[in-house]
Amino acid sequence: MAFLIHAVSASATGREIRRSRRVEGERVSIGRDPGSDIVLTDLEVTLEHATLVQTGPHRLIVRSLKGVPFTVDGRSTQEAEVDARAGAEVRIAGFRLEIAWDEAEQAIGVTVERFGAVAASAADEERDERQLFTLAGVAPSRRLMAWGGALLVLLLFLAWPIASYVNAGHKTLTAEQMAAGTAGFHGDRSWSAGPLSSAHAGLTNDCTACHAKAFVSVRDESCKTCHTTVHDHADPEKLRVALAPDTIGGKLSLAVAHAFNRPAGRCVDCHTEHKGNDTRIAVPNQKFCADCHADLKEKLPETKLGDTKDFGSGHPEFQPAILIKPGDQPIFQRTSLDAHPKQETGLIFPHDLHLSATNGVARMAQALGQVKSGGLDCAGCHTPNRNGAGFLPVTMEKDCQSCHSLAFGRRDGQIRTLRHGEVDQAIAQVRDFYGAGGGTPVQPLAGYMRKRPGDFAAAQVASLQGISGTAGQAIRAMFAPDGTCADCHRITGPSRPGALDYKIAAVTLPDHYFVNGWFDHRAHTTEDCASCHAAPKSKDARDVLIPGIANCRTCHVGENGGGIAKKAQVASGCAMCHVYHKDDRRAATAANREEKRKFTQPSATTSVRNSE
Amino acid sequence: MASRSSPRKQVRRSAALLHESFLRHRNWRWAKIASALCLVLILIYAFDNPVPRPEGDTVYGYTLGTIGFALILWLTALGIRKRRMSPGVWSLKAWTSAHVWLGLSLIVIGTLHTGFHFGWNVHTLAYALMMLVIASGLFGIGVYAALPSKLSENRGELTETQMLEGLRSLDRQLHSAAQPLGPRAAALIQASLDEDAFGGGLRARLRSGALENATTEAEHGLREMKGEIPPDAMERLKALLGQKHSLVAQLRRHLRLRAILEIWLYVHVPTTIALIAALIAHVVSVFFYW
Repeated sequence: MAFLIHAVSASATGREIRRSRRVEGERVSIGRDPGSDIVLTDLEVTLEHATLVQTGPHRLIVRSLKGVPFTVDGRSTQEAEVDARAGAEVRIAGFRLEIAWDEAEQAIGVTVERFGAVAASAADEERDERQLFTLAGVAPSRRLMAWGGALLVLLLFLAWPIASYVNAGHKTLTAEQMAAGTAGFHGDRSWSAGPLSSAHAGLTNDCTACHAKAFVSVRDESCKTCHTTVHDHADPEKLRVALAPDTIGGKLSLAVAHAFNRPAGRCVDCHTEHKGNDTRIAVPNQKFCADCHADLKEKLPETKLGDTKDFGSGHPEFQPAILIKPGDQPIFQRTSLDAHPKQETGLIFPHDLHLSATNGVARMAQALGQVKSGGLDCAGCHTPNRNGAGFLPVTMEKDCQSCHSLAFGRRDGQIRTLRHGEVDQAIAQVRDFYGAGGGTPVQPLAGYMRKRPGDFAAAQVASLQGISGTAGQAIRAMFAPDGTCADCHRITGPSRPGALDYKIAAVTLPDHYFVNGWFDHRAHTTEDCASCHAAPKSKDARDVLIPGIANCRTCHVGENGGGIAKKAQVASGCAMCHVYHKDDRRAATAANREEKRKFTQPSATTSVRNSE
Repeated sequence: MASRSSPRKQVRRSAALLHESFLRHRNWRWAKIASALCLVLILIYAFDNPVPRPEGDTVYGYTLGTIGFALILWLTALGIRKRRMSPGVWSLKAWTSAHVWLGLSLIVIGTLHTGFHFGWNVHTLAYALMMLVIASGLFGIGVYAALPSKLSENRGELTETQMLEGLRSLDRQLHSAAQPLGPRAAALIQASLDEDAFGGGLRARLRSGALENATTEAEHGLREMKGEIPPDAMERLKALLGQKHSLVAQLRRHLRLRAILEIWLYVHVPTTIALIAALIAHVVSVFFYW
């Protein structure tokens, strides 16, 4: 009975040192105690740790003494029987005991070898010392983080948005679909450069509603899906010519825009989106207009528009729509105020006479109680319309008749009044009156002596009694230069001496002079009418009382002052009076925007010879 | 020039060169270039008056974006340059100096490019990543300015290898000195031996303050077991544990300083790569939904 114990250790140079010793007897002690048969120098090993007890020629029992388990062929146990011929590996703490039958020595061989490091610091020897002091072992690899992060970014912010675009199916949304908006979150939201304007907020989740095709800039077709009634500012072809920049920088930027598939002149060039709730072009910068209009004549020689770049320093004189042919189908033509145009409205109407504070008209107005002192004022005839921006049309019934009575006779206690606006009817009325035996003229149809117009009858009847004649005389008197009709109207006729086919010129009163501009009277209530309109001095009904640009410039100095300093400087960019889309005048002033009234254009706008 | 050949001046110059950090390379050359660039860009921004507002999609916005993107790619190339021997005129120091100063100028270029508009989108993501890269770079410059002296002060005359060797030697001595001990005392020493001075993960590396570790516990434990341990073994173990304690503390301080010196790169480099990915997504998105 014997054990053959081989102790294997490594020299400093790594060479294996093997020392063998024969222990006679059937029992071998194992422990940290130096007196043990097998000394295991490991602090996890107790001083007397285990024993090997031989139980047969080749058999032995391995037994733990202190209840500390060991492993036999990988299984943890406190006692195991081993057949030495079959061999076994016993592990105690950092030591490996290989048990094998030694045929030559006829003994149980036990090879003892350390496999673990004594201390953690010794285990470090296996690690690369250069890496040991770095973060390489304790932090995830930088390379891994870099590729992982990059991949994550590309997946979330490139692949997902593109997938959203592909899934949208390139279909063009209808106006209803656009208005409704699509529910759910789309990956391409992460591409949004900023919030949409409030009007388009519903489209926030539907990028493809406007961005219809990949790598193709937003086109007007997308806008026109909903905006079906917006008019062009000008003929697109002319606009393209006018927009063409003449500076090197401008040409370069245009070329770049073309190269990047971004044609100029699209809706979105001005109506930029993704800029937040209130960043649409409502009041564009003046340069925006001046880019084309500063030298439009050069680019579009056929244009009738004057070059302009600033209201204060470079704006042509106003060209109001001037009536050049009155009648049922009147013709207006834009004419510069420089030409001192006159217009035949069909009326004979001296403003000065009506606005005098001292003449007969004034006294009449006082007598009628229309004014307490002085004469008539503008508001006596011109009534602001509902929104206050313009005026209601002047009518005979409302504005003239209180003074200019059309009563001509009394019969059977009834006052007879000429039918206004219908010449043939009026003639017939007079004929009937005289044909039926006449009556009492309340006032002469000629020699118009209105002592008290308006409340005419009773006081006048007495003085006029006895005047009589034929219907023809009365009619002639009515149309005579000092007759009732000719007092206000231009009369033509008769066609031959003795005939009674008098005609009254058609009355055409323009109610809107500026075709492409917008003037709001409400914004000017601090001013008297007369500070702009020269009505008190106008002796001729044909005068055009639209004030010229010089008048406006007493306050309106252009966008940046335009080099003129005035009493009340009002910065006035183009958009203060003009709008880009010409059918949308309502947008011109904030006040008008609030009130969505129906805009009444001049009755004859259709025949305005627009010089655009 | 006469003054140039003056020996005194030459001495001063060479002395300056010796101590010149990469930041003040060539008398702040790149700091000056970057500042001038920023000033010009800010002036143009101030006088540019795009409609409706300054942003990335104006002419100037695109210009800034292109400059910024090209600059970012060039700055990233430092990582490639560092790994190559210098064949040309650019010294690594000059390159690093330009990297730092032009990198800082990206704060101006990038911010002007945004027109000060931000949102929850890929565009702002790219901006945020860029700022994170710059911030981590600034942190890196800060620690490179402050820490190396502390590092060398802490290390004393020891090299890293010597520190490691010292620890292994102490462990070996502890191991053999503890052989006669009973199981309780042996377990205390074993715990000290088993403890990895390099272990504990990233947070432990960066954490400051003295560590309560197995070695200090072993010191306390042995003191309580005074009667059970032979006096000579006790003396030896106490001495060894005391030495190990101070060496481990020194090593942990060293590791902490090195970790701080290195950690910014774990933000700087991966974030740079993520930034380039975000920039690609940003540019593609702009042209995709054009």
